[in-house]
Amino acid sequence: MLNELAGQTAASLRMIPLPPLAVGFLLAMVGIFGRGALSRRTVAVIAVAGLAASFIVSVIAFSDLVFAGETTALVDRIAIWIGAGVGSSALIGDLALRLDALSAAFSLVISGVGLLLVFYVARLPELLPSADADAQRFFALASFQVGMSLLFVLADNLLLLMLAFLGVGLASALLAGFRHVEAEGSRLGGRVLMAGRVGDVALLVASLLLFRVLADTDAPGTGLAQVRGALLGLEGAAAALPAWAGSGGVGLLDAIGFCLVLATASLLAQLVFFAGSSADSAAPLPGSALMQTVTGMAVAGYLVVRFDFVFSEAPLAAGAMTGLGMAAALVGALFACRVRGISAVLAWSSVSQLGLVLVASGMGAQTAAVFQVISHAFFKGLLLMAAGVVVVAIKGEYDMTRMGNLGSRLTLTRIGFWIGAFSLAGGLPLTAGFFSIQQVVIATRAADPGLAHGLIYPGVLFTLALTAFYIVRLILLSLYGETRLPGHVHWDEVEDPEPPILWAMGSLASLSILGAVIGFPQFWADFFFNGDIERSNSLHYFLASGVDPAPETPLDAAQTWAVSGSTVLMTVLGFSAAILGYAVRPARLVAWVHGPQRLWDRVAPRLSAFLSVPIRLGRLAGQRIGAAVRDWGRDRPPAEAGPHRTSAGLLRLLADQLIKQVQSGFVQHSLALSVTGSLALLAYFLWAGGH
Amino acid sequence: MGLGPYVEGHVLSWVLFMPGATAALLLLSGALIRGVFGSSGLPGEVWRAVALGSTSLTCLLVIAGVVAPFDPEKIGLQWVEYADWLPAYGVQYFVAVDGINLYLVLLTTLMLPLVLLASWRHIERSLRSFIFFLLIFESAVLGVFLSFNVLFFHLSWQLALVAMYFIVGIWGGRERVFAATKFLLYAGFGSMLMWVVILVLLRLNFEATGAPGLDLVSPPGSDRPGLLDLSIAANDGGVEWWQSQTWLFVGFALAFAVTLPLVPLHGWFPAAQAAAPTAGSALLVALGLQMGVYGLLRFALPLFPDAAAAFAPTIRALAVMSMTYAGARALWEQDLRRTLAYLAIVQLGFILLGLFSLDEVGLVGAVMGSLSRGLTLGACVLLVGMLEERRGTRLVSAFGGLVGPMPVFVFLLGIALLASVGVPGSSGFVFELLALAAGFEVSPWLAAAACAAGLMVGLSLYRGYRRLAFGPVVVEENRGLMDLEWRERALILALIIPILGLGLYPNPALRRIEPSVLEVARQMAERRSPDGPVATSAGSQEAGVR
Repeated sequence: MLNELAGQTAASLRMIPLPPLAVGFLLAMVGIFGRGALSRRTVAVIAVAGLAASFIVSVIAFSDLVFAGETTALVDRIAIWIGAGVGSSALIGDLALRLDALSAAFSLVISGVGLLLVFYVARLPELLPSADADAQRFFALASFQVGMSLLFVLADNLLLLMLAFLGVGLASALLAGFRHVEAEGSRLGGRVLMAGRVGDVALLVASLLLFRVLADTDAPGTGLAQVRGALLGLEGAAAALPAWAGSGGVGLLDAIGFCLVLATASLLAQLVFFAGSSADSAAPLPGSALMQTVTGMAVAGYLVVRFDFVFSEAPLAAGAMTGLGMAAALVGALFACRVRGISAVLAWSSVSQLGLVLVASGMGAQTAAVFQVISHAFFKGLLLMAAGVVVVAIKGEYDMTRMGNLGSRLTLTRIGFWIGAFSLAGGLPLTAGFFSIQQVVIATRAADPGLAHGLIYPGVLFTLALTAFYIVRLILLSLYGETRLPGHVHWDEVEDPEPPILWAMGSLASLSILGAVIGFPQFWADFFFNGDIERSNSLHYFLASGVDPAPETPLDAAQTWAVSGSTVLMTVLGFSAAILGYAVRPARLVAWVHGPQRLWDRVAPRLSAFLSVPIRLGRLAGQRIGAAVRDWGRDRPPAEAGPHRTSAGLLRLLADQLIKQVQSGFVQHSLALSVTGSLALLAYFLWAGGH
Repeated sequence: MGLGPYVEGHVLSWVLFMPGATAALLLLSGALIRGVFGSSGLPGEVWRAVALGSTSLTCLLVIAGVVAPFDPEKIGLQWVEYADWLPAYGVQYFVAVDGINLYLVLLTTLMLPLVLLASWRHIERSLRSFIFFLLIFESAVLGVFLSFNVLFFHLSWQLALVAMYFIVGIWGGRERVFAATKFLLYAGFGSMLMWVVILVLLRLNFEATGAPGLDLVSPPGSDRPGLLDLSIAANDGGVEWWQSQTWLFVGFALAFAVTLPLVPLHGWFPAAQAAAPTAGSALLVALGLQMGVYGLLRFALPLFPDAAAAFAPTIRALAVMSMTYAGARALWEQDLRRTLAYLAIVQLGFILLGLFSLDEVGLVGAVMGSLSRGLTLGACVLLVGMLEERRGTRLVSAFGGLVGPMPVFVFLLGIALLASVGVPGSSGFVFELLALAAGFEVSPWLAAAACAAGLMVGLSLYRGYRRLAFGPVVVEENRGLMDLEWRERALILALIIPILGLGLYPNPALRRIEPSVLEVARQMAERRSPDGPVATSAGSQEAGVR
């Protein structure tokens, strides 16, 4: 095994991210420089093989870690990647991978669920555009993104973390812009790329600030374990910070925390862009599925949990993360209740679920956050696969109002939908989702009372009700009721997929239920097994060596029962509302619902217009300033200046009267400006030098 | 190394003079043939082939004779060549290599064959003169990077500027004469200041040693003192005002600021970029701009450390202002070449932030920055040139959906642009990281502003790239565009591979750069007066090596 080969170091760790990265690179190069060299089938086989290799090594490494006794981490140090400077200012980042409990859990989920998803796409090629080149592009991007996600969770230092974060964002942008030939696809790719870039810069600033904090305390380094140890070792970390950093009312750790929240928000924004585009399916469903389960979602979850030591010392940033999470959870769930595209519902649902992860992490419940990411990967993977089957079965139709009664033909898929729905909604005890959601709710209930936290607990409960509503709505609209299929779909051709796809779905369905054992709460273990099982929450104790999870049972029995009851109640409420609205549809209820619906339809456009005012103003101002800047130095007669000529005001006057004189293109004007600028600089230099 | 008896021991001279000598030889051969046979001299194709051979050979010579055997552990100069030239005026032929100029020399010799290949079909008018000036430019830039004598450095500098003036002025676009004149005026202004400072240094050295001398350091095996052994007053207390570091630094800094180019002395640059031919534009961004950074690091900082420390906060602020201005201008720029010009200014901001942190990490970042800026912008400009060659325009609005007809072009341009905005995994990331790490040490808020400016230019570049590459093909002419041919792919890959290599595994390069940077930092620390100003804005740490 890995440990026995090399003691505490495990040189084979690199074999976890390397196969998918190599496959991604190979397929990309072949696609760009040698079009048509590989058949569609070959490409799929290569991609699946790469991920399978990665998953196998992940399992081996995981078992090594579990059976390694006192060892808390395995390390694979390849080389010094970037090294400059000496002493405390030295900036050194190793090309090194580190597998601790947190990394092991995430690498297993990413490689495992990633493998299942890619295998599923390989067996259901109708989900991708028909051209071989497009399929090759998808498999290249999927492999690359999964590889980068694995690199992210295994990175041993801040610099490598940044590299992997960029890789994930880049692949995400390319997947979002998959249909780049269409204007919508191109725009979407651009938005996702810029969101990712904001996250890159935020992570860069956070890393540099962390590095500098430690350099000032004579414990420099960029290694994650090193950074964590040094920061935790500081007595009252904020007090030891340099003066420049602590000023302005925000401590340095809060500043670092805010940067990390911004980086996480950038991933959240990418998911939002995917969700927003799902209505017209600008992004392919498989690409969106990867983002929602094992790449974007997992990377965001890992990021906030990995830096728990920062958030534990940065209450403002932790609060911001909780607020962001709560907003995302509610907004995502609300949108999921409203949209009509089957993939859009699931995409908005992922936004909402990531919000819950952020809430849990912001509250300090790291085990709950990790468990939520893991169980979400299982049940959302299952739901997305089932949705893909539906879309393929009815020839690419995404609109749920044009489905109906499909469950009578897709019987096995329907079972998958229901298992996923119960796990997602958290309403059925004994599913993974139930226990993960419950831990999130317990964390919010156990948090210190206060205005913000007083809003978070009911907010999460309300989100659960919405979650149950939208997922049951999805199932009822698509699988039950009357058939509303488009004309080109033949009812007889609608059928469950071939067995390999059902096997992949079955695996995730099993995990959605059996995954419960990963984080089985002690409270429920005591209830079901009369206290015969100790330390039932394996995930909690497993993670304890790498992160700092909150106490497992922060509430007493009565409170825990109350929380569980509330969770189930809200889920049942959501289920009931959806069944009433979309299955029973009593006439009075329909009329009652239609009243607010009509009101909303009237208000929504105005609200939307109102909310977009700042954006439009900003865009207008940008255009005006841009036009003014662009026109500097151009001798355009006023008649050609267009409709903006009277509105640029003072800026235009300045441009016309003053700046144009010196940027007119005449050499003497340029020279005069140059000499004046130089003299001014010279004067300033002299003045500054004299002081 | 088995370079042969004629090359061994004189490898730098071979490198330095081979391009210029080739130019002279071609000129003479042409004249001879014209005189003897009465024809029009050597055909342009022969010039092109010989020039390509000569520049390629120079590049190979640098790789095999300088870079490969370079000893990264050795502190100090390697392959030193020294000879008297005009000893009465302090001019010596003193060339050498260390970690600071090693990769810049390699970059110079790499760029020339690539530029020749890129202009293989593009230049039709006065081809022979064009090649002549390219070769002269290469020798001149090599002189700038290799010289350790201040006057030889200055002469090479002037020669490079003159060669570039002709390249822009003769083979440029519509506004070439205007742009070339503007360029010469700015550059001439800077050179004049540098010349004055050199004269003062000559006098100061003469007064101190009794002999003229303008070598930067004492030549190996000689007891002749270098300028770094000269004591220059930190300010004008006790000496004439023009003999103080303050004045001398200002003179050098302004001369270099023009070629960096630092706002507000940048006016010539976008104009020259827009007007220059592809070859001139690529050489300007890849090599011309790096001369200023190199001059600051090699001469201005170690010679005038107190003044550098005093001006450091101001220059850092100016650098970030330049970045912000350039980032904002780039947002509304339609011309791809001009956008790249503003990108060069943004990158310069990072370089200056690192350089004037006066911290060794920042200095290493600045050297890496010069190298990275040359590679990434060189690649971008060449790619834009290839597009212009096909369509006759560089305006973003003329394109759209190019990924269909030109996937390889779009892919390579994407990598070059990502690298130029410093995404992890590229050389741009490494230098920005080091510069920012040093910047955060001394001016955290300025460094954060630099990040924001970098983000802004990233946004504008991406907007341009998206409009160019993706979406539907709206202009019918673009539908039939030919993708890059193998010649073009090869020359761009010759730049992309080092960009990615330096980004994915920069440590071998950093190991070679660092000892020399430490040496500069040591020289600065030694020459600092004990009561001199501190470098940091926080006022908590001393400048130089810690």
